[in-house]
Amino acid sequence: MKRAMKRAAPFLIGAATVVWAVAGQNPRITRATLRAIEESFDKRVLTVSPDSPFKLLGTTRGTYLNGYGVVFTAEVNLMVTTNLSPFQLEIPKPYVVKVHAQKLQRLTLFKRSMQEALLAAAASLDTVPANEQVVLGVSLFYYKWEDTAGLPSQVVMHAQRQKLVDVQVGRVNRSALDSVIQIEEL
Amino acid sequence: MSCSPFDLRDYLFGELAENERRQVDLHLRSCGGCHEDFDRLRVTHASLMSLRDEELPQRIGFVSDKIFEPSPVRRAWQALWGSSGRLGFASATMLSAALVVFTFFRPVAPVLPAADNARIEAAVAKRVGAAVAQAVSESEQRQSRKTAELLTAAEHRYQKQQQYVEQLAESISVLEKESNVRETLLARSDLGASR
Repeated sequence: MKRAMKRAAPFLIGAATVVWAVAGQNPRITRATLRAIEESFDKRVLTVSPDSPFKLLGTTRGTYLNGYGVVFTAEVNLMVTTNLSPFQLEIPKPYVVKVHAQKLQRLTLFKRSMQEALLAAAASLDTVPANEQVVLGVSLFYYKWEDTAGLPSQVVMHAQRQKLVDVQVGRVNRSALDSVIQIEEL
Repeated sequence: MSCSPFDLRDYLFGELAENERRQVDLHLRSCGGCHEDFDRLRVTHASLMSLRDEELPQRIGFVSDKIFEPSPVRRAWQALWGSSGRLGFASATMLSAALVVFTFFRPVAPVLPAADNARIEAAVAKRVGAAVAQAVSESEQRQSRKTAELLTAAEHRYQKQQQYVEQLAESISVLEKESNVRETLLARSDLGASR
C-alpha cells in the first residue's frame, strides 16, 4: 500500500501543479470585487450632481470576459423629467426644448464622471491582467416625446487597464486621459 | 202766429183779390216775422211741387193678403237657410249626388295606341333607370366617402390609443426600473449593515 502511494505521489504532485498553474493563469475576479465597483459607480451616478441628480434606471452590472476584460453596464436618465399621464396628455414644446438643452449640457458632465469611474475601477481590478480592457457602457434613457438630436442612446468607454492605472498613479499625465480612454457614442 | 191781415197760404196760392193781395205785400215788407213765415211756406211749396205725382192706391192692402206672401221657392229657400238640420241634410244629399255622378261619369284616360304606349314605357323606363343608376351611384359615393371618413377617424383614434398605451407602457417600464433600482440599493444597504 505504502509502495503504491509512493509510486502515485509524483503523479499526484504533477497533477496538482498543473491544476494550480492553469488556475493561476485565470485572474480571480471575485463577485465581491465586481459588486464594490458596481456600487461605487451607482453611488457616483446618484451623487455627482446633488442639486439635480442623474436618474439611475438600471443598477450597474459587471462581468468578466475571459481574455478580454471587465465590462460594466448601467442605464441612466440624464435628468429627472415629467412624463405623459392621464393628467398631462401633452408635453409643452418649451419644456421639450428645455429638457433637450439641459441634457446636452449634462451629457458632458456625465461623460467626465464615467471617465473618473473607469479610472477608479481600473485601480480596484488589480487581479485583471494589465493588457485587458476595462469597459463601462451606459444606456441613456429618453422618453418618446423627447428631442434626442445630438444625444447618444449609449455611451461606451473602454481602455487598457494598465494605461488607466498609469494615469491613476501619475505615470501618465491626467490630461492624456482623453487619448487613453476610447469613447464610443451610439 | 202770423199777424198778416190775410192768410199767407191764400196769398201763396194766389187766391186773394187784388186789393187784399196788395195789403199783404205791404205787410210782408214791414213785418219780419210774417216775411219769415212766408218764406218757409214758399220753400215747402216748392219742395212739394218737386215731388212726382202719384195716384192714390185703389184700396188699402194688408200684410196678411195673399199678394204679400213670398213665393213657394222663396219660402223653401228661407226654410232651408233657417234650419241647420235641413241645410246639413241638403249638403249630405248634394255630396252623395256628386259622388254618384263622379262614380258613373268619371273621365276616362285617353287610350293611346299600343306603339305609343310601348315607346312611352321604354322612355320612362330609360329615364327611371338612369335616375336610379345616378341615385345609386351618388349614394355609393356618399357611402364610400362616409366610410373613408369613418375609417380615417377610427385609424386616428386607434393611433391615439396606441400612442397612449405606448406612453403608459413606457411610464410603467420606467417605474419598474426605478423600483428595481430602489430595491437593489435597499438590498445593498441591508447587506452592508449586516456585514
